[in-house]
Parts: sequence; C-alpha cells; structure tokens
Amino acid sequence: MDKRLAAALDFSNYRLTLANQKINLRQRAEIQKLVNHNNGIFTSTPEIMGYIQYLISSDFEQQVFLDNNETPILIKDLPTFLEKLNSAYTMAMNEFFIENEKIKKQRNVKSLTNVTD
Amino acid sequence: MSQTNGVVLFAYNNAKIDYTKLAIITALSVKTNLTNNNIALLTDGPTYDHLKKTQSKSLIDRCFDKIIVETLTHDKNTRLHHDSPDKNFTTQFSNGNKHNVFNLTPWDKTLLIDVDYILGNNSLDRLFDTDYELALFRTAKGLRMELPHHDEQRLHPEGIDMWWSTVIYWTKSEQSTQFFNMWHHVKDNYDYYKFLYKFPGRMFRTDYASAIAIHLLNGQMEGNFVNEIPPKVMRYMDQKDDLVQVNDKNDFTFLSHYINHKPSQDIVVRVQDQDIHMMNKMALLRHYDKLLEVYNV
Repeated sequence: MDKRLAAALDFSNYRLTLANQKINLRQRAEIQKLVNHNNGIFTSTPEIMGYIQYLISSDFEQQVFLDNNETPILIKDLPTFLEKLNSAYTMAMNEFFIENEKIKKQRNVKSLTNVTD
Repeated sequence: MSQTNGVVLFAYNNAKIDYTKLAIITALSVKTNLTNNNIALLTDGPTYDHLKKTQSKSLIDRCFDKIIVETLTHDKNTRLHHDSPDKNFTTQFSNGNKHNVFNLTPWDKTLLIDVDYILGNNSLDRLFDTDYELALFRTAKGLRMELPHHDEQRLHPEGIDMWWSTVIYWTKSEQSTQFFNMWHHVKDNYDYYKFLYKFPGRMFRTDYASAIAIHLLNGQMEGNFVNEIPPKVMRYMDQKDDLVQVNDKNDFTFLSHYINHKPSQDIVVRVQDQDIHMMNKMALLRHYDKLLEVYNV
C-alpha cells in the first residue's frame, strides 16, 4: 500500500477511536448525572437547576417534577434537591473535562485505549 | 419487618460454557460496585457440584450469600454463539425457567442480573431507592454507542419494542406477579406468539417473552407498565467483539467489530466505569484469571 495512504488510514483510525472515546466519556457523564430523590430518579441538567433556582427565588416551597420514567414526584425540599443535582452535575462535568483533556493529548490508538502490547 | 434487598444470578453449566466462572466474575463486580449486594445464586445440582469441585470455599462464600439448588431438567434449546468474528459454536442454552426467579428469589426487592453482565458503577443501586415495581432495559447500545441489529430493537421491523431480560428489577407486588405469570404463559405458548408477533429464529428468547408480556399487560399498546433502568441505555459488547485487555476493576479495552460497516473497520475501545453486557462469554472467560486478580482474589 502507498505509504501516504497507509498513513491516512492510520490517522482515520485514530480519529475514529478518539471520537468514540469521547462518546464513551459523554455516556459515563450521563450516568454520573443521575440523582435519586423522593423515590424518583432524575438526570441533572442546567435547565432543571435553573428552574429550581427560579422557584426558590420566587418563594415557591414545593413543585412536582417528572422523574426519568415520567413518574410525577412531589418535591418539598427544593434547596436540598438543587444541591444534589448541582453536586452530581459538577462532578460529572469536571470528570468529563479532565478525561477529555487527557484523551486530547493522546496521539495514537494505543495510548488512547491503554493497550500495552 | 425490614425489607431485604439483593441480587440474583443464574448459573446452569453446559458442555462449552462454565457459567460458574461467569457468575463469580459478575458477583465480584456486584460486590465491588453496589451497596445492595446480597447475592443469591440459582443453580442446578450438576453445576453446583462443579462449583464446589473447582472453586475454593472462601471464594464461593465471598461471592454468594445464598445458593439455591434446584432439581430441574432443562428444555432443549440450542444457541449459536460467536466468539469474535471468525469463530462460532452451538451449545445448550438453559433459560426456560428464568421467569420462575420470581418464586425463587429470597429478596423482597430483587435485581436479576445475567452472569455476562459486568458492573462498572453503582447506577443499579438507584433502583432500590425508588417506588418502581418493575424495571428493565429497552434500549441497548454497543461499544460505539450504535444501536444493535433491528432484531434486537423490535421483534419485527413493524412490530413491538424488544425489552432486554438481561437485567430485571422488581419488588414483590401485584404488577410484578402479573408480569412473571404472563412471561410463563408466553413461554408455554411460544409458537403461537412467534406467529402472532412475527419474530425470527427457533431459539426461545427470554427477551422476546418478556417483551410480549409487557406488551400484553400494557393492553397491547405502548404504555408505562414497566420503568426503564437507569441510565436507560444498556451498553453491550457484541459476540463478534473481543475483550483485549482488563485494565482494572471497571476498566476494559475491547476490539470492536463493526457489523454495520462493510468491510468492517475494527477499532479499539476503552470503557471505564460503565456496566457492560459482555455477550462474548468466551472472551470474558479468557480473562478469568486477570479478572480475579483485579478483584483482589
């Protein structure tokens, strides 16, 4: 095979692997964003946190939210709920950032995927 | 009286696959990652004898809190397995009494996990802190986050959604009783339902039986009879993928064979801190010793 073509295919494989590793990191972050509260499971997002902040600042004391399986859950302790969501979101995003910075610096498939031999 | 929470694993050996080893790996991953980690092993006499003969008592005691040995005759059910792209084999697949786990579980809240499902995080713990009475996975995605073959998305291209029986969570309730009874009924009338729902293959698939049970109990409509297990996506390694390296607990490197791309462009994939349904059981067994090492056995 032509050397330049072989190099291009190698690079293509590297880019594909890099893109896939990033998708993997995103999925890992999705798991880390999960929060249990009042017998429901919720995914932490900036939107839900912004809405809760609005409710708190407008002196609402409770609100019904749909959990990830569309079960309506009455939340009476909005500040605690917000704190849990923010904590999960912050951890997920920080880890996503750190790991993404790491893989960006890997220049070959072996180092990207930790293959040792 | 306080409720008991726990995990149930099945292990029925056949001529080619040592399910006791798979159960040990899965049990170690459960003990590592979940707090609701009481484990009951459901097995048959010959498999239990094999387990006692081949594994130390300390390892068995570390992995399993209860062992329930049934006297059973397994229905003949032959399955074609792939082990990476180029090798395949057929062997007995003993899954005919899986629905009976509802009667056999010693726990009030039960998480049934197939023994090729390796945990990499604690997301399944979340189920025990909900009011959900029944939960399964509906969606699976491979090592490249691609959807599986359409036979594993729907029972027929224009048919009902498939639900995976790989992981099932339930509490003892009217709803879960109806589900397992209906699954039993579908199993007993499998040829009829195969004709009705127009799904392929001759092998009895518990995924299909449970999907039909869900559809029937939803009033033969899309519905919310069951919940989806968090994070709503079951990651899987296809039988044609290979496990290249075990890096650590919850850290695996795979070779992904992409069947939807011809010619296949294989890529290496590292997956960390995620639960993975490792369908290539032989690949998992090839790394058995290393897995014991990373789980400090």
